[in-house]
Amino acid sequence: MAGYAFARLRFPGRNLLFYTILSTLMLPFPVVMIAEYVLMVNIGWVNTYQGVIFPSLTSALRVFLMRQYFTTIPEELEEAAKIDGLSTFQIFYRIVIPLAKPAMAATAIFSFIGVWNSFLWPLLVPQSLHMFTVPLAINFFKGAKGTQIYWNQMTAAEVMAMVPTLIIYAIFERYFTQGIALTGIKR
Amino acid sequence: MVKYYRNIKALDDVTLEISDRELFVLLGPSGCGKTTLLRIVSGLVEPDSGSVMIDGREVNGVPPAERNVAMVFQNYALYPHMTVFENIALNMKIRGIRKEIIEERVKRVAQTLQIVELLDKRPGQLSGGQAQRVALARAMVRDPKVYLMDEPLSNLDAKLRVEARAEIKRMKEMIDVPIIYVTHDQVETMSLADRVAIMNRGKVLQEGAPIELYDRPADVFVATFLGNPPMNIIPADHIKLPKNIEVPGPPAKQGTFSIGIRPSKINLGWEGSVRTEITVEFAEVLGDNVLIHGKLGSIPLVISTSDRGKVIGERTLQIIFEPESIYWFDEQGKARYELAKDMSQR
Repeated sequence: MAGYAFARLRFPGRNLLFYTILSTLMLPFPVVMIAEYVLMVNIGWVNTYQGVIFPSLTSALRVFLMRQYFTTIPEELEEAAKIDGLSTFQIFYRIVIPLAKPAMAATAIFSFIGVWNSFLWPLLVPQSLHMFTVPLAINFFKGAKGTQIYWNQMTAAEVMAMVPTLIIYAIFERYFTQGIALTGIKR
Repeated sequence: MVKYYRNIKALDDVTLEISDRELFVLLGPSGCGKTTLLRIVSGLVEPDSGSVMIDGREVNGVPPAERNVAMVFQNYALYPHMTVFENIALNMKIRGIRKEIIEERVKRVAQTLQIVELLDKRPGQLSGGQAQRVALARAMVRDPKVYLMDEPLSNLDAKLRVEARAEIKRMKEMIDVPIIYVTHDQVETMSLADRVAIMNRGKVLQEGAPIELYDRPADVFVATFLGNPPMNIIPADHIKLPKNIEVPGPPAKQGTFSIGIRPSKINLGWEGSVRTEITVEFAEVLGDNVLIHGKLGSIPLVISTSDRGKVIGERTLQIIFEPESIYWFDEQGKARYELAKDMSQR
């Protein structure tokens, strides 16, 4: 939705805000990590699920990806919808969202892979075992002091950890091809 | 009305009145403001000053849907994820019209435009001509107060374009509201328009019936825009006019003016009132007609002739034309002068 706003709606400071968000992409995560952790401590979200989940709910990269896709949807379609009597919100969910499925699928896969494989943030925030992510679990195969590495079990666990990613890809993959078949407008 | 884009005057004091059952063409080169004007009528764009009246009611500030206008876009803008039926029905669905009524109206329009068998298809499966008919159907089903068409034929190939032109003519007979039609194609204009306004740089240069503009253009721009190949414009000092020729009004006294002559009014030969020689650059053989691109001194000149045998392979040609077919323009090409006797005739 943020991506659509940046692509089509006109509001004061739009470009400034967009480039501000975009510029956060250029900061490596470890730079902001400490600040984010301090924030989590202050609002008491350390060792909670929301502390793990919230920071990755939205990301500049995803907003950027969606915006880029929305700008490729021909403006005439939205104008035709306006003349047909659709409100801005109706245009968004009846016209734009159905057309943006391929981009949303791509974004979903990227997000899933990113979150599924995240290591550093889940290493910091949750402190109870049951909240740990899969990469952290795999890390346990190193043994207590890192003296001993159980290679066989570790690689087996990694293969297991790949399975959900493959399933997600299989689900969203058809939208990619659909996106190519769906061009109803001649350019 | 007036419309600015940044600091550029996109529309400069334009006033037009269009009546029912009239197909009104806005003709001009790209960037002349014709599409802006159309979008202002549709409500997608608001003018900086001036007003839009539809059916006696001022609609400034009224959202597009409530103006009850229908628009046919250059690329048709059919919703690719909906079937043809859904495309045509969307407007009525949004307005909450009962399902049976929607179905009946869509079917009726589909029958008129012969697209019944396409109703379950998606826009991606349609040919250009079919997509165009669906776009027309989407406009017609709403029974709008005015139709707006933004270069609806420019995406079709030449053969389909002729068919689609006939389609629009037929459609026009069935409706009794105005159609505003934007194009840069002078053939479309001559064939479709009841009236036309020629625009350039945000201004309306001339409006009237197409043939009237063709016969009596207000200035060089209009004269060279209507007619294919365009009218030749020759500065008067590049051609020797006979002494006894009658030159109208002020330009002759100032001594600087241009003459315009249509390519088809120039003949080959030695026996004529105005006679001169041109050098041939190349010829286009178009079947019955041959277009000869030549030069009179440094001025490019086009002649259209059916006398193929006489011209092919020639380096220079003797041409003649009659004073009656000359159009007289002032030096800047902004105004045209008429002979006193022509004015009294008309």
